[in-house]
Amino acid sequence: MLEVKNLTKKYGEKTVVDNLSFSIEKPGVYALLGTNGAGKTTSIRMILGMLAKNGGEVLWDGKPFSAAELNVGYLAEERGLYPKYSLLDQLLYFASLKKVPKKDAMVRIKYWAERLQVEEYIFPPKTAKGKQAKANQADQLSKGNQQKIQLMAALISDPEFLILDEPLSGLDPVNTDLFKGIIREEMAKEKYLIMSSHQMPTIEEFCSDITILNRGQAVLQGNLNEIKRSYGRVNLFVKSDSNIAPYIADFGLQIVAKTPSEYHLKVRDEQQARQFLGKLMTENVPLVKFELREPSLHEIFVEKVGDNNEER
Amino acid sequence: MKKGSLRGWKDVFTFTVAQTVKSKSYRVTLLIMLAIILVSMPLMNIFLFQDAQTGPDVSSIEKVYVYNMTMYRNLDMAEELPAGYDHIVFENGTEGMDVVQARICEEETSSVLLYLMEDETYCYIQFLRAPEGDVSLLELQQLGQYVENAYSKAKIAALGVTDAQMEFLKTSVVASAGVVDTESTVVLEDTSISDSEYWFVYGVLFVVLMISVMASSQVATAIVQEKSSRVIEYLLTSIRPLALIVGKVLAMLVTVMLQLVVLLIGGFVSTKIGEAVSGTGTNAITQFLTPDILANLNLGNIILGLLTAGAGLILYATLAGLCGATASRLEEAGDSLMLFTMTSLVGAYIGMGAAGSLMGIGDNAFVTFALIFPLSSAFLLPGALLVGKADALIAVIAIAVLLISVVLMFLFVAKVYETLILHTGNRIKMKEVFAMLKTTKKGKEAAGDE
Repeated sequence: MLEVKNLTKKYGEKTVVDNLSFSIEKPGVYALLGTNGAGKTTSIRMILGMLAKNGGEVLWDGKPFSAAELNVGYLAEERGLYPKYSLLDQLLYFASLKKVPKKDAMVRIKYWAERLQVEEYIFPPKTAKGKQAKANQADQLSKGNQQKIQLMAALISDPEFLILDEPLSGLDPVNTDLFKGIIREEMAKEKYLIMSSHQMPTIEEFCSDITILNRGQAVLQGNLNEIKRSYGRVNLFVKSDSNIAPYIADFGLQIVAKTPSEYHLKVRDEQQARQFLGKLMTENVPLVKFELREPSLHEIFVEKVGDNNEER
Repeated sequence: MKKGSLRGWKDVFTFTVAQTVKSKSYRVTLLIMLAIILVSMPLMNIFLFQDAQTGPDVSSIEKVYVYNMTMYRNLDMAEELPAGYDHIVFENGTEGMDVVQARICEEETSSVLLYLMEDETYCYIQFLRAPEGDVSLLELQQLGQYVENAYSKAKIAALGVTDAQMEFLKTSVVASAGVVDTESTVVLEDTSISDSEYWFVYGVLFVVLMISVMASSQVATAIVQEKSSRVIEYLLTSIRPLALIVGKVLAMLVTVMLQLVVLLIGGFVSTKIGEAVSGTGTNAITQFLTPDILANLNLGNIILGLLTAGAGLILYATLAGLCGATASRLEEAGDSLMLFTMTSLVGAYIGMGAAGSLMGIGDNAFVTFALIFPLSSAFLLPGALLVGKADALIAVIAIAVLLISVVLMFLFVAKVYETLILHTGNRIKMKEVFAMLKTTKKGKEAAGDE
């Protein structure tokens, strides 16, 4: 179990992370959300111990957290590989730093290379003359393939705690699905994960608990489903072949968005939505869609940080 | 320093050594340097010992027309000639010199004209040969030596000085001062070093400086590369920054030492080839280094010298690593090394000044300071030990001071490195690094860390 208590980071007089606290009590994916410059990466760096903190503590099973002692995997937001060294040498080096024996490391590299479809880059095939082709370097790979190598580096020690900072950014749809599949596999292995992403649908897909950071402070924390329930089902989507604008005006409903055929409305509560539906039915208005649902994470996020989302 | 701060340095060391040795730039540089060294000694020997070469076994000169304008008209030049030259006929010129010159040019190309003249200050010995012909410049230079010997002998004989008296006159005079204690033991006070010893100390200083510059700039470049490629962030999940820099510093020193060993072996082979080329059994190095210069070359002094140089190199390479960490882009690497470059130059100049001072006036307070001062001791002490101008006590003190400096440098690096290494903006100035030290200290106190 991971506990982050009152984590604080200051640069001079400027506080970039202010008393951040959260805990991951059971295996699963925890989301750290926030605008650019909100303090997500700084918090992750402090959790991992690579950046000195000005206050607070990070505990793993009640003891001080040490990334070097615990088996931690990390996919950093700013991807990094040695541009001129062979990929295999780099992966073996990363494995040795994680104390993975060379033999096991080779087995894992082969497995992940096959799984992520990068075998030809890590183990170059023989040339037509039967000679071993020159090993590939990172700067010869596409951005997506470099990202795959970095995911391999994060997973090479088979970590029990995995931090993924923007894991899907810059990937094409095929590779996005590939990465998602791997994340699901890691979740199925009962691992602890922290994910940071700007892609709200991805967070909704994987994460049970979230923290939204704004200017270094946690502005919303908790279980995602409970947060959504607390907002209530106040988002109403109505689609009709007739003009329903007069009915909306009569009920005093707020129009959030409008397309040629569909309204996104905000209702006071479910009762008001039922009354509105009753009115439309009574008047025999032909309805194509009438959907009442909770706010999306995207909407919650925008509501919480929307007014203060300028990068510092 | 936290427990486990150095864990993982061996992995960094092994990987860095392997990748550096595998890199094309390392191998190409080594090959070029090796090629230069292999050809340098034979070439130097050819030029240095050209005068000593005897030319053909039998000289192609057949006749010498002598125009002797000196007061020693009866020079017996034939007496001085060795085998191969003893067939040469010396004939006093009776015709005009222009007539003989024309004949040499057109008909007697194996004859030469010798013109001897003297005034109050000099004696001039001049040979003239045909532009086309068998007579080489080397042969004339050799013959000139024999004529010069004959002239010198004639001068001395004219003064009535015998050969034995001449030898006595040639003996060198050495002046020295000393103190004598109650047991009549005389201790010489002149502690200055000879020209050869100075150049030896200077040479060792230069070699250590070169190694330091090469290894240190490689450390800095490697660190900037890890920062600019962002790989550093991944590495820091497994090891502490101190382990990273220690592994890198030691790896770069080993790879540069490896280059040095290969080049030394190349130098040895080159020297042997040079000796064979010169045909005299001597080489350019022994020309400059007298045999007694390395009288203090023993295992103890070698170990002390290596320890001093090693500790100094670690100190400088760590400083270079710290400087490298202030930059985030490869193009800033050169600028970031300014502090390292300045410090190295100060250390090297103090060492050079002390070596010069040793040659001029011998031991003095400045030399003692330079031998102990951590920035200069690594450059000066190894050479000074080998020529006997630094004793074991000074060496032990210097090594202790160096080790303390290394530890202090590591402690400083450990405090600021983790902040520096994750910095990705513009290059950080050293003033800001010291400010960072304060902030880190306050932060750690607030967080209750060690």
